[in-house]
Amino acid sequence: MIYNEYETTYITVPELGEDVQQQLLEKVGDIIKENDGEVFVQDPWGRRRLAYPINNHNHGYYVCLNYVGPSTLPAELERVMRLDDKIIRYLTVKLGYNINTDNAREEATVRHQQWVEKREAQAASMDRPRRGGSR
Amino acid sequence: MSSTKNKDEEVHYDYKDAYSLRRFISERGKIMPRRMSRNTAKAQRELATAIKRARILALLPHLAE
Repeated sequence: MIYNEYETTYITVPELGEDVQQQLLEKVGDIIKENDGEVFVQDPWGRRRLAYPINNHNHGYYVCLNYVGPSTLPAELERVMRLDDKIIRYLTVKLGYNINTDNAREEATVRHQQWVEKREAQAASMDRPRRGGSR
Repeated sequence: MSSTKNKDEEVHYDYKDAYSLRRFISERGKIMPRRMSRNTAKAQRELATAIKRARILALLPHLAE
């Protein structure tokens, strides 16, 4: 069986409680496990402002998942997300074809660590007042 | 962030990193052309894909105003 690495980001409506959000994450995680997949990284970004309104929502709660699985898995996952009206948008990206699970797991962790550091540095620089007229 | 690009060095664009991608869109939300971004053809394709993915996730606008 060929296993690919995927990354799925979904956006839920912002006004869900912490527990509902957690339930949803578990539900998605279970689908991955039931379909012979494994979650590498769960990354809830949290509430963000949307660049344009989706279904009359101006904000959304972002969750990003990095996982491996057979090629049938994303289709099933997207089907479930399409049916769930708490999820207003999702995007799946294939990161690797026929990967070695152990190597990929390690790389995914490192990659995620770097991304989190970069993101935090960006957030910190946005809080600082801008110097000069550069944009 | 360095403004000069080394041709030998590969640049990677991540659709999740809207903060960095913002530099490459105009005020109207259009993707910056290669002559302005100074990208190689390969890097420009990657940039365009990243911006389009970011738009799907409402991290970047499809068009502004």
